Amino acid sequence: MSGAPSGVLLDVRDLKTSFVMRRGAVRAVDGVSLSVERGETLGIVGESGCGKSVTALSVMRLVAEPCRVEGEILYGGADLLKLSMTEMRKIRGNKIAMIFQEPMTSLNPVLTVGTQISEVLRLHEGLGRREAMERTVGMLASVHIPMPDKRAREYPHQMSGGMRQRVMIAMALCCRPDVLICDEPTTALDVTIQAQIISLIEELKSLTGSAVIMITHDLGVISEISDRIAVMYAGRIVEEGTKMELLTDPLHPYTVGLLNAVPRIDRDLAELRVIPGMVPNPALMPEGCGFRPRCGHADRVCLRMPELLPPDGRRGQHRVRCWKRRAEPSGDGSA
Amino acid sequence: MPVPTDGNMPDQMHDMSTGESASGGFFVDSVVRMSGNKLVILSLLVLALLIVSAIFAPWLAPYDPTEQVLADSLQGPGRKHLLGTDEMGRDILSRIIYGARISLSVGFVSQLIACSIGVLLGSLAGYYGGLADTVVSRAIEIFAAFPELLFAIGIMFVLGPGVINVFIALGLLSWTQYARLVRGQVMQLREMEYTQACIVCGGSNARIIVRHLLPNCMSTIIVLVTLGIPGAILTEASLSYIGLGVQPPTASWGQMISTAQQYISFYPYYSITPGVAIIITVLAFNIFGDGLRDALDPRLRD
Repeated sequence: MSGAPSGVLLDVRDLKTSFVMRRGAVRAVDGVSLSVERGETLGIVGESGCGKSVTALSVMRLVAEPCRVEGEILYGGADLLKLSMTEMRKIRGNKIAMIFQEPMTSLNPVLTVGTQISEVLRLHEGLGRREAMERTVGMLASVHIPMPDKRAREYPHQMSGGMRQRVMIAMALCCRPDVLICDEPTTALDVTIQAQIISLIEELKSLTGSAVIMITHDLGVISEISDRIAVMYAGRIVEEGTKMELLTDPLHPYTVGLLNAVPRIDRDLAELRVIPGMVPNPALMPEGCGFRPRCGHADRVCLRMPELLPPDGRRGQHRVRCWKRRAEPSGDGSA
Repeated sequence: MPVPTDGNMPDQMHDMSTGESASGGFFVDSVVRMSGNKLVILSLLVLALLIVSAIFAPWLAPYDPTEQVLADSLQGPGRKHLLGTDEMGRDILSRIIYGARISLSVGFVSQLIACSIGVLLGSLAGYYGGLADTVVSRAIEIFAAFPELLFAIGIMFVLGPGVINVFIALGLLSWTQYARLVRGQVMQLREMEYTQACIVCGGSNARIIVRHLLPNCMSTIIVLVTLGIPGAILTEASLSYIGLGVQPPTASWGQMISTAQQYISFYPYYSITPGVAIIITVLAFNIFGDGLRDALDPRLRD
């Protein structure tokens, strides 16, 4: 599914984001490396507080002060972390765009949606008012908003949540960005609208050839749209691989737990399966593997932090951060 | 999930809000809501009348407001002079009409000055926080610590009397209210998701403040202006009353009351008429401002 390896658009290397608190720094993202290729969709899954949103915000350089972002974010031959704010502004919305979780509050209530989209076009492409408005109406049509010329003159409060998320997508994609980061774009929407938004993102991605980074806690969404999946836990990537590798053959106990926790309507279970325990407080990280306190397989070796490596004796893109590489032998014998 | 992605989604796939919505823009909505309040409409009519009479004073006033006919001095209301004459034999009605020019222009211009200073400093303080906020907040506190009238008297004393100086004094007096409110609101709006969405789209700080945050503060600012104007009119009247404001022979309501004071025991009309003019104007502005605040309050929107 993924393109040539040379087509890497965005390459995040060893990203570390920490928030400086009164009692020292708290590391929210700890050594995350990711890359996306043109036309590829990378899914990032994880539960609340695992650092997936902070990763996205760090890429956009949107993490609020006081914070420290280390590592490299390579895009177009430059390290985004070293750019000036003026240079960064030319990239935001133009080359790398982002969609947020809350479509209800992500639009300015006192400006028409047309004004808000055409503002982006005028800013980045230097279009005149009329040209920008024409392109805006075209954009609204391409996100399947009926009567786009009329809708462009309306205010956000006159639209439903799904409609506003379409507007946000139109706004994010109007300059044909190389990379689109979606931070839980469907979480606030109901299921039928979710499906529409997902397929819309897919459709527009194939049109523009953008790379998409889809951040969500929803495995259904991820399995629908991603080519590759990275699972994050406690600020680190614990497992990474293609969609098939990860969904059919999860290696990390956390991934296994996540997949088991998905409620299945076709199985009659007495109760929902959960992963016991809570996400550790980033200020009080357990020693060694972050998942150790919740993991059924943990022993003394887990007191040291495992590396993100391919599992023993296998090739492919699959990599996992676990000493137990393969905690449960599954039928065909363990490595 | 099987969702058609061929670009022609059937209509029922779209969200349900496609139907005609009755509401127009924010301000259109507010005007519609305000028109239901009779008292506000009445105050609006009074204000319109005042503004028209101020603009067209030379045509509306029956006499030249500075023309002295000493033989006719201190006459009560009558057919020749509808509201009587003053101690110099000048027509009081004409002086009231010309006085509206002074009062209204003082109200509008001083609030324009105050609003420009206050909105600029307030939005900078609220948006950037830190040092900018500290400096502006301390300045607000210092300015607000002076008793209002004493402060105005002090400035007028330094600048000397005259209409232009009244504008400046009152502008310097009331910018703090604008700065305080805009600062608070910008601080709150800065944290809204659409501010972040705008940053994500590559907007600069100036663009975010001017294009996104200030339009959201607009209703607050409009209400402050309408409620600030009557305050400025009253302060101008006070300044003119004590002789530091508008200088004779230019007609000003406060100054008329000041002169009329000597004759109040045997000729009360003279002081009552400019007093009533001030009361009506201030009341109309206050009622209108209150109505506007209710109309623009998003919490009351349906």
